Amino acid sequence: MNIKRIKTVWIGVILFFFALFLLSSNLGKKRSWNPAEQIIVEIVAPLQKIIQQTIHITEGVWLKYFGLINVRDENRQLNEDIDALRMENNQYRELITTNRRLQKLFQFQETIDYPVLAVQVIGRDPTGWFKSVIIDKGAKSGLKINMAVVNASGVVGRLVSVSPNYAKVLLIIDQNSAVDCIIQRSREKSIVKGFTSKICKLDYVVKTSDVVVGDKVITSGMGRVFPKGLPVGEVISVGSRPGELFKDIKIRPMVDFSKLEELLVILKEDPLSTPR
Amino acid sequence: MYILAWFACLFFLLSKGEMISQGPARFFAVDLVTIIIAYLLIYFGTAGAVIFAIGQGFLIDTFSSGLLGLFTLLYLITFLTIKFGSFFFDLDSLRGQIFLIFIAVFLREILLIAFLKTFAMEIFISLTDLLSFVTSALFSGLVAPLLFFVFNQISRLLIRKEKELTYNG
Repeated sequence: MNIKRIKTVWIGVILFFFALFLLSSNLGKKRSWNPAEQIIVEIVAPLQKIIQQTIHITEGVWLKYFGLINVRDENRQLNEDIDALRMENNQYRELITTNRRLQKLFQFQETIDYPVLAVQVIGRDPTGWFKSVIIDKGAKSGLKINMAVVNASGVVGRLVSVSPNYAKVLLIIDQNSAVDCIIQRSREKSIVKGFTSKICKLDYVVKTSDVVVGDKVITSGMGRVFPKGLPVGEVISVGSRPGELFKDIKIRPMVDFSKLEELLVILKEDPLSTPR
Repeated sequence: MYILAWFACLFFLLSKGEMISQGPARFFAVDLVTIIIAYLLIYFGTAGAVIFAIGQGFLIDTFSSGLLGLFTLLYLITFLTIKFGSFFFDLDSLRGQIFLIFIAVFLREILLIAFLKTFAMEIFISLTDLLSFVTSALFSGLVAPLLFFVFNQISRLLIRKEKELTYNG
């Protein structure tokens, strides 16, 4: 055995016992770093921090890179899913609103004594000057000229033209339309005529009559077309011009004519209307 | 192209009511019928344009609740306005197209009111309505050259397709 090897064995034994000594001397104690350890930690820790950060950055970049490979496809797929869900959502909303409208229409239908037919608006007057709509039912469904057309809010108009499968409704806001009406409160008689697309006027109301703003206007049942008591509108202004016999009265129709979709045709035939 | 013009106008008429009922849209309502009458007058002659004008007028009368024959007459007058105006203004030029369409649309609007008053139909005309006459006529005039260009392109495309079919046949 040479001297060099003996030295190595001894150094090993000494280090082993040193370590054993350190271990045994600190057993059962809560110790902090000793000054020597603190110096080592202070020197090494920054390096450790840098290494740790490098690892994190590398890991992050690596993972993001691989993540990005799929993210475009995933994004496209998600956008497609969102579009599909939006469309589906719109369809559901449309179904809900249609359902509400039809419920109102059904409730209104029960207040009318005559049989009614539900119809759908499919077109409007192309000129913009006259106020009429085309509906999807005609003579084959039993529709005839001068039948009254209503919706859940009130009077809409009357049929003026009928073909086998379609019909034209003259709206009460048309300036050539006239509906025989009464003021619900005072029972004053008058004629409702179209004025603008949102306002009608009340004609032939004498100056001595009792009409105030807010009065409800309903059908009188006298014109043979509309059954009695259907809501037509509400008085919004009452004027009086000197030298004239009648009051200048404007009413707001109960029906919103810009949103006509489903309507009811009252299947009550006008005995005086001649088939065209 | 002539048949296509009929269908385009029919589609336009059926959707126009819905479009112009949406508030300010009527101020920019292009009178496609008048523009096509002018276009047909150039490329299909007087007969083609007159038949188109009367036919479209009749269609409008059918779908509207106005007097039957009112728009038939109005579009016939529109045709005559363009025909007469084309003696003084070149309908092939940009300026001629804008001016003649503007005059024809504006005159039609004015005559419509005159006829309605004459035939004792009660029509209330507001200042906004009068303003819409001018803007609609102006807008139709300004759009006319662009539409003429589009019609020409479609016409060329149709002719090319027809030739291809003839060669293949």
